[in-house]
Amino acid sequence: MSSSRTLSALARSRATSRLLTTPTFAARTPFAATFSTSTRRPATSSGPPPAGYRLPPQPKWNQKKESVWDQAANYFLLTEMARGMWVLLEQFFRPPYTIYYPFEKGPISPRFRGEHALRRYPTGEERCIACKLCEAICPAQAITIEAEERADGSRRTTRYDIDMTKCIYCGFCQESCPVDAIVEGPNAEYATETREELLYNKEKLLANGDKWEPELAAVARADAPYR
Amino acid sequence: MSTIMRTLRNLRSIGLKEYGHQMQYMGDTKRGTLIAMDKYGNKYFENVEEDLPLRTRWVDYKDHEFDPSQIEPGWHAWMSYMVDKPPSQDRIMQRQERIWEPTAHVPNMTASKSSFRTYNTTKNKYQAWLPEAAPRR
Repeated sequence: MSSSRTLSALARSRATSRLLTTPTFAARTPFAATFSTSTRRPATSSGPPPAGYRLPPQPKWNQKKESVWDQAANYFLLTEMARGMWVLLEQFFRPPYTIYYPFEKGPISPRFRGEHALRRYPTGEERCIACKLCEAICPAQAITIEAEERADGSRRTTRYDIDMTKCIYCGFCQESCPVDAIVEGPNAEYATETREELLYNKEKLLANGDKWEPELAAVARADAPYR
Repeated sequence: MSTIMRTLRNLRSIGLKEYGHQMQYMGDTKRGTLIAMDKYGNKYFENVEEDLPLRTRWVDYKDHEFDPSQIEPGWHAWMSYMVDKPPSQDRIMQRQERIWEPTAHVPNMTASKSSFRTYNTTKNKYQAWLPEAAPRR
């Protein structure tokens, strides 16, 4: 008890002691206000819920208003089934809410991170210089790079493997790339039947880049004002 | 299924043959203007007066066995509402502009003989040991 007295004395000495002066509350529980500082919050942002917001408790079988003959008639004439089928009929003649996917598609952002691709310069020279920044930053360690000097003396990769089953599509590789070589294109429709088809090597990534270059260029153009 | 009035309106607009084609493949009737046909043979339509959102652009596939990967790059962006202009009006998204681009569009070839199988792009760093006995003197 002595400890509670010292606590309440400490609370009164603080600058927030004005909160303690609610007369009925402070007399009984002197330091309650210091611990429950939250106010009552209504269930909705506009206040307490309106009447009928929550379902009322369902009446039990012996509390129902309708007579036993009405209940028996509803039971044997399947009126609840008829009501349910009427709801279905209403839905049937409504316009569809859904997108008919293979024919229509949902929106995709230009920053969408999909299938990887290795881009080329307009001359046809591959952009990747094997700096291995993407390999270093990849949190899933899905990228494997080996580099060698090419015949003309430039530094290029001999191996650029991405294990697409490891990749988490975070986009760090394309953000770390100093020459915009590795990009995550807008393609997401590359589902495969086996896992082995998702072990991409350098040739597959370059082929992806060649195939998707029109769209990769459009994506870069759309995002350029924000970079 | 759509509303009866919408179906009848579209049937009157597109004709019986196209109605049967759309009901066979899409399961819904749509009317709009033909924007262009890509090199693969898919036809792309648009109807900006469509009262339903995100259903304004659609594709009529060339193949009976249709697949979304048959949509060419560029048209894929247009179908996904990523760009405003179709590739037929936007030079940056046209294909074969660069000499190193592939000439033919290849859809997703998974579950077929042409599916991608990975391989090693480097030389082996070690070889299997070939035992060579020194000649006996």
